[in-house]
Amino acid sequence: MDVALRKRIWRYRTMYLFLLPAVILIVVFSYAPMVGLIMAFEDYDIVNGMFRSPFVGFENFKHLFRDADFLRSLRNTVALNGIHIAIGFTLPIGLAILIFEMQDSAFKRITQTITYLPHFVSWVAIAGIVYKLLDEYTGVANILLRALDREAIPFMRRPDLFWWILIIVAIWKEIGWETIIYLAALSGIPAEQYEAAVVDGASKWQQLIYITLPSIAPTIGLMFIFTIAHLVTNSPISFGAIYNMRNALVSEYSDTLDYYIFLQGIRRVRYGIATAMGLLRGLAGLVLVLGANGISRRIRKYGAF
Amino acid sequence: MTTRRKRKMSTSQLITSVVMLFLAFVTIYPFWYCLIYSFSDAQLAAQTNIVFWPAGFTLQNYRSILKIGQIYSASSISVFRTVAGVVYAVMITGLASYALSQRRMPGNRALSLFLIIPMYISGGLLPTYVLMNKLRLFNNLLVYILPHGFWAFNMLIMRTYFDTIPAEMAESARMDGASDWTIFFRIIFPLAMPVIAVIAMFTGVWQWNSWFDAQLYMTKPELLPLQNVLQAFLRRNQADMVSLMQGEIRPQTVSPETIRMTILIVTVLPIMFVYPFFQKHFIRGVMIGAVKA
Repeated sequence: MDVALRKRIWRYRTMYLFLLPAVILIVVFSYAPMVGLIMAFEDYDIVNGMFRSPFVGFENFKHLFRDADFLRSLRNTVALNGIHIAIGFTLPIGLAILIFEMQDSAFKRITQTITYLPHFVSWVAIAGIVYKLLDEYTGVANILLRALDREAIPFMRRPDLFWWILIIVAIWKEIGWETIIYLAALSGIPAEQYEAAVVDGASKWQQLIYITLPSIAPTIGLMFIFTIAHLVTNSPISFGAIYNMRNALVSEYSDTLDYYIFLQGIRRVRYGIATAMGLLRGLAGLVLVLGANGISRRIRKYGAF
Repeated sequence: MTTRRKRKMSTSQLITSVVMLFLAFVTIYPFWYCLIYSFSDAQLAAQTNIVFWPAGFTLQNYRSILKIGQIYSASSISVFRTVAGVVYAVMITGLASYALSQRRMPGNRALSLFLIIPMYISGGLLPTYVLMNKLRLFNNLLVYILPHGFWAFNMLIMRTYFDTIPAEMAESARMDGASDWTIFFRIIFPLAMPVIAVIAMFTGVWQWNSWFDAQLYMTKPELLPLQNVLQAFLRRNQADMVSLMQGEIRPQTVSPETIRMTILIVTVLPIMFVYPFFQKHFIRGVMIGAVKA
């Protein structure tokens, strides 16, 4: 090691100290569990532990792909996330544009602040509220239906309705929060462009299509890539959402991969199977992140952004 | 203050106002419903339809939940993990982020990568579960705090913020003989209050809303935070609930339903009061963080 480098390291010695707690934490709580991935290839039992349980190669994985419940959990995961993106991706954009158009006022600030609220509330509470509001007998939704001379609907007992209810609630929960990014992008559009357009006689609609949307297109693109990249690891249809919103009657449609991992691993103590699923999940997440990253880099290269 | 214009709202403005009003209503109403339910007399609530107003205003529900032994331990634990968790995370992430903002430090890129990669790859639920057991963190309050000192996402936000602090400030202090510790705590830290507020908020809300780790790692009910108590009450049926509530229960004014709503309000109210004040800060934090990612 040459002298200059050594001197620099010495100069920054306190910084390394600053980093020490974080590094220790990450090693212990993020990297160490990776060793446990061995369990995916073992017929794990608690007595033998991680290093003495019999090694079974890809048996756990083969078993998984023959498991109807596992395949169903995959279907539910893909369907829920897919529909959620299809419906919920564009809504925050539209809302942000609406909010941006508003004149600054107490009304604007208050309503905006209100829309952020559900993002900060836990799914435990939200599920409790949803069940209460959709209750077949006392729920406000059914009070309304009965007032309109319709039959009450036992919402949370209907497997066919679960996806829609969950997605609507998930959108409701996050839509306010998701406008923040787009509002930032919108505020970056130079006002002169709009002023010039107005001088040229452009209507509100034309301004929207020819100025607003093209200007925030990069942000929309990036957010889309971001959403896809985090589909597995950080989706709004999270484990917490499923765990609290599901019930035995709708399980065929509610149970996603995360939930199934929990079910097999924690409830049924099938560590090997659950770890195998976790590994698959992690791989899928990795593929998505790298793929999304690659795509965004290629897009940027072509100068579109 | 903007000057008041003549009341000529264009159609688009009208539509926007209607949409926003609708959205605000749809967002607030579920919480309002729980609030009025928590102030309702249980018997009246069962007989009439509660829609906009409590049925027979009463404080009995709130008085009753104070009789649930677990409420005290759960509240203390929730407060503890929120406060301790925030202090812990701010300290560890703050120090690390500042170090990583020193771009000319040897190994900066490698260390950054090392700390960021776990955002994308992880052992998963089971390996982590096994680890916590091995670390003797089962039924241990530290399990709420220790693992959560560093989140890469928070680090990115803080580091970006530290990048905006002119290097001259640290430099001139160093020339006056100040140590790195002094520089960080006397100069950088006070300047970083906005970003610290963001991290504190994110971490605090996460800690307050956490329930899964409690479920996984705790078998003793007195170690559970408030969210889990709420969850338990939401799931249990009538007979269980009655037995859960020690002490005097007056079934006339209290029911599992009203109790559920009351506990729910207690868990949600702190958040509702806190987050509007941090609005300005976390908006900036989100913008910075997203740009980085």
